[in-house]
Amino acid sequence: MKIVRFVFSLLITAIIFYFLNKSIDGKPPIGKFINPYSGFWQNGQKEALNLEEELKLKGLEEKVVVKFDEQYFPHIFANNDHDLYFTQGYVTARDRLWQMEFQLLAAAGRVSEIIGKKALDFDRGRRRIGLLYGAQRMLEKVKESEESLKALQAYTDGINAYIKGLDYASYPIEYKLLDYKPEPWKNLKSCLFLKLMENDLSRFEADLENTNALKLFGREDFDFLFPERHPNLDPVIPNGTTWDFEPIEVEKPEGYFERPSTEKTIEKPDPRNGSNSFVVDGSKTANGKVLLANEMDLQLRLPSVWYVLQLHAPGINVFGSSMPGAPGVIAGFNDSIAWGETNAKRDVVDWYYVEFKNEKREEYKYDDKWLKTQKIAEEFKIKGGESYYDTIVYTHYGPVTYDRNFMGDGDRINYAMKWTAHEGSDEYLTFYELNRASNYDDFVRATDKYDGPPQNFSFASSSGDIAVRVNGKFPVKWQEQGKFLLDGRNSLHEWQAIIPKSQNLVVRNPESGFVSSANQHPVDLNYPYYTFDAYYEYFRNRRINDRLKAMDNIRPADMMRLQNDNYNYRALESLPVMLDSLDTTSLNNSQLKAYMSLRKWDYFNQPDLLTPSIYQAWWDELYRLTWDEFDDQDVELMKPSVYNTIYILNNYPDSKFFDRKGTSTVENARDLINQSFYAGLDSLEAWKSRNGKEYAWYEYKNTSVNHILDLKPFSRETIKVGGGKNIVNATSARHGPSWRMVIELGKDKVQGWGVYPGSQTGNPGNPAYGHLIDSWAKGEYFPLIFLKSPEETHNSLIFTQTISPK
Amino acid sequence: MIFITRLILISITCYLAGAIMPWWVIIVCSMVVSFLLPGHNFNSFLSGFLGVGLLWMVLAWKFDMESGSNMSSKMTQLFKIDDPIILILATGLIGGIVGGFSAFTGNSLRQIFIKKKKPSFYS
Repeated sequence: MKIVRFVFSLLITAIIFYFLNKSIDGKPPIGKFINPYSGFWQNGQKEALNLEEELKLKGLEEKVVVKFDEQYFPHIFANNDHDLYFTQGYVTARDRLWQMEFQLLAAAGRVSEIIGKKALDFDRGRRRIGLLYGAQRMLEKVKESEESLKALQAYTDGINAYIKGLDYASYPIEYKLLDYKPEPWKNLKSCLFLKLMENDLSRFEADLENTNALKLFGREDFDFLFPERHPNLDPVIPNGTTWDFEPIEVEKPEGYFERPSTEKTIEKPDPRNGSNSFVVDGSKTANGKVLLANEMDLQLRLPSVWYVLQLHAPGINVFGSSMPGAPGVIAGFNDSIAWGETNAKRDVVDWYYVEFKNEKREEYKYDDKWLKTQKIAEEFKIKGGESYYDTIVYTHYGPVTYDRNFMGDGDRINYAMKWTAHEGSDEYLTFYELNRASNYDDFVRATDKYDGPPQNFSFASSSGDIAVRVNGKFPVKWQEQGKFLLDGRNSLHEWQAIIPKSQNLVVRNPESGFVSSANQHPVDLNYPYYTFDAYYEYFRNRRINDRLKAMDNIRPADMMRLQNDNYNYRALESLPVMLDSLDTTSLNNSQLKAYMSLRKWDYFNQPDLLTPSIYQAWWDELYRLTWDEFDDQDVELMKPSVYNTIYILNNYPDSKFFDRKGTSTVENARDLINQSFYAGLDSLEAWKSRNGKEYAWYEYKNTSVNHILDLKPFSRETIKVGGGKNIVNATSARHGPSWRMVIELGKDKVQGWGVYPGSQTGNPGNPAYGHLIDSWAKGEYFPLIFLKSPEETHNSLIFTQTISPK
Repeated sequence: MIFITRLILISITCYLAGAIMPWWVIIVCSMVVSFLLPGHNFNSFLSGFLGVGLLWMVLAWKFDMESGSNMSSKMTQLFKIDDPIILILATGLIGGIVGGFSAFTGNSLRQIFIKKKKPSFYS
């Protein structure tokens, strides 16, 4: 009896233990998670900074001083490069470890390891675009430069010094929620991080969609729907600029290649990932100093994509924004120069049709030869399940992404991916040198080493130089090469040459007194090389340039105002024709009210206004009705750009594309404008009753800074901010300026201002979590405290931590 | 008296061991203490329940106060609970249940080795 009772109670205790120690249905293990000593209770912080004044770390060579200002930006003072990057790694990990690791698990296609089978398709897609393959080749390149490798190794060691000091109690909350633990950092991971940036910024392409559209619509309609250029473009390099170098010629293949169509294409990065940058020289400013403004429009996320800091050691004193996972400062300033980046859109991803010799897929056709493939077996570990295996075949172009195991429609299509990100280059060396650059020549030397993701590097120096350089590794292409699927069997379809860096686009000290870039076309047709991209931006750049032309006596505050400019250029070019085409005689009172408010609107997307929402809802319906021929197609297509839609609306109102499918009448633009007006107002009324509030622009747009895992309590929703897509203040629902900075460079003094929608800390239990968001939304900036030496005092410094070698 | 002693001993051992060991150390402590200080079944369950439960509740409350409820307020939203107080009570309850059954188990094991006194012939 007693034994039975003991066994029974032991069993109950064991069952309780089992269920409290196990993650069930994605929920954290309750016992572990709720234990006051080490569970979530340990992740709350009363003070934003609760650091020891003295800290000892194994691996440091000498003493390092870290000062914190009121925004908790660290200012790191070290006596050598090693300690500098070691400490950068350490403090970044202290604030952002989980984010650093998780984003790379996603890049490496390893999310299934933590969240289980539902992420398997995502992971397979990630491995098939070869990010890890590219990272390995990058690391080989990093090893060729002593400085770069040393900096990267020190950064890695710093992160690991932090990881080593952790136990379950001190893990960031996300590890506890998902029930896994950090693994050691490696140099390869930082390389993978750069590949992740290439993925987000240089993998937009529409080769297969274009191929489908060309087959479906024919050449004439295709060019009408997707023109490469329009009359009134304002490229990065001012129109009319001439080039005096001898361009490399490539041979265009003769003959016709019957391209297959593709039903479904792989997921693509968001084309809204972009940026603005503008620089004005002394002739345009109030005090004769040079001003540089830069902002990166990326997905708005918490923890933030940027980590702001100052790095000071012999030979370097730089301030700016870094990216958790990458050593050095990515965009910032030192006492002689300031630099920034915007995404330089250019098609650097091409797809090649591959013909295998037989089912074994060991050889593929190339001219009159058969080349050998290489196969890599990939194991996908799955939480709570058995591993999944996938074999990826590699050709000399790159991985065969589409094949019989992945989106290949049986055995019908095999496409290999060719992408500059697969080829080895060391971008960290560029930033290493930029951080230390002191003039234009240094800037050119540093950016010469940079391959991707292609960026428009903007530049300003205290000696008065301004410039923008469109830089990256760009293949020399024949007309339309890579705009459609290429034939992998034909060597003339190869990238036959790379544009020498010295022939890349650059503009320095133009007469206009300013340079700018905002993801638009890089250059006009005077440039001897073919440039193409499927996703150029058409609006922000023209607004910026219009303003800069008009502005004079510019002060830093004017640059900030322009960064926060809410002028809706799209509406300016589309709304007049929409309003003029509206039959106002049949409007009822509330419709008339909406019409009148649009008539009176000054095109500013201010957060409190209802009018921008009316325009947007109307436009969305009009766009949808116009391109109804793209719906219900059984191949993947991309819809024409907003810019081209407006162009067609204004210039070809009787185009056959305005005729709606499935109606007995023949519609033109005027009909669709009228129909969409009512439909747009209806959708707004539905929105209003669904949400129980007025559709003020910021409510309707609903800008949110979401936690990476989309956990609501860790996110900020419905932020009161204006702007929108294609507006200089490019704040849309989930995208926007992720770091804004304005730098003033004078011979005697350099000053900077910056803000970003987030916080240095990535801990949702820290009172400062997301604390800069409200200032960012209001367009406010914080002065960037640029210290000359560790001894310099400043009333914004609130804490000093001294780190010594153990 | 032995009830109070056992309860306090469970609390103290869990308090000390918990600071350095994983959460399940409360199972070990409750079992061992009740094995060494046996008593009635319900009695030992209760000392485990209250010993661990009260300890976890007080600790959760203490850490929550020290952190200004900055994390617990987010957890209540995440798990759709109204008030951090409920989280503190739940922490105590879960600790209590684990402690109670562990103590009961430890006691049951001890009972196997204790011969029940035979009723005296004269009584």
